[in-house]
Amino acid sequence: MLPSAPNKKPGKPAKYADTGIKEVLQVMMKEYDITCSNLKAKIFGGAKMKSGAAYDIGQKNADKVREILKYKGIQILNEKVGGEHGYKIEFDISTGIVNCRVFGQKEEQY
Amino acid sequence: MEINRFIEMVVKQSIDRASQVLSKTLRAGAKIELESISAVDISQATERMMAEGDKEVMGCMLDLGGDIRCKFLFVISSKDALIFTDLMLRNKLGTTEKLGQVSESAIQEVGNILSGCISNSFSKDFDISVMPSVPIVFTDFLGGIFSNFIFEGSEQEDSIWLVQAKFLVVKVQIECEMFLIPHTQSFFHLQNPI
Repeated sequence: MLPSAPNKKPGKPAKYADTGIKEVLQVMMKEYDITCSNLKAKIFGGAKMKSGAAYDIGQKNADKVREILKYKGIQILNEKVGGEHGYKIEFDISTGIVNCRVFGQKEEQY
Repeated sequence: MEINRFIEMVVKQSIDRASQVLSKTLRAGAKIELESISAVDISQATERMMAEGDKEVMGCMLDLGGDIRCKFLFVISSKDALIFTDLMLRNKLGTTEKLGQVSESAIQEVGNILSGCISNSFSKDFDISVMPSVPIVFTDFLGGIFSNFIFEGSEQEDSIWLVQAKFLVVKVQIECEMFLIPHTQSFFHLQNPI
């Protein structure tokens, strides 16, 4: 939910894009012997939920995720990010298709 | 008094006060029943919320600032928000069919009532100055609203207070949930009031 973990107090890795993605990749590599070159990504979310907020954390999160994936050499196949409402996604692990519905909009496939 | 017990006391007293204010506002018998209150790790709270993450809700979020700081969120299902709107407007139940600005105002008013009662509990019972910000109302998936709330409140915190309450108005039961993220450092700065 935040782009980068603070240096002084790391807290929970899953709260931050940089430590969260790193942790997921470590588990995948350790448990399933998968390397980054085997992986592809689709990214969703990053909405600016609060209009008038001083800064757009959703956009910062999305930017950080793209940066990390690029650094790791993981191709982004598709993405839907931004807006001002929540996302609901369903990922079909057999086909790789993601059904995405933004609140107030129709469901779309990615 | 330890902080957790302090927060629990404040919430319970606030709920009692809010019941009275709500009754006066609706001009009908209203009671807010506290079902449970507990401090949980943010991961647990998030996991629990995400189980119903695609539920469509209205949420009212605000900050409590002053001598201590807290983040507050109140959520109600879209269906119950329609009922609540009718109650606030004293319409026949079922009149409001679609959420809009009127519903947002009704839910914002509930946020004002609840946060005002929490502030009063701090002020009157513990002589601590706390002021609520203007509530912001969201209509969205529960997961989205909750994520935003957690993001804004948990940069420094890893625990959250889950407060489950029921609004009983005359014969209608409306379920809602409230959440508090106290900024614990601000509590430590208090001298001896607790």
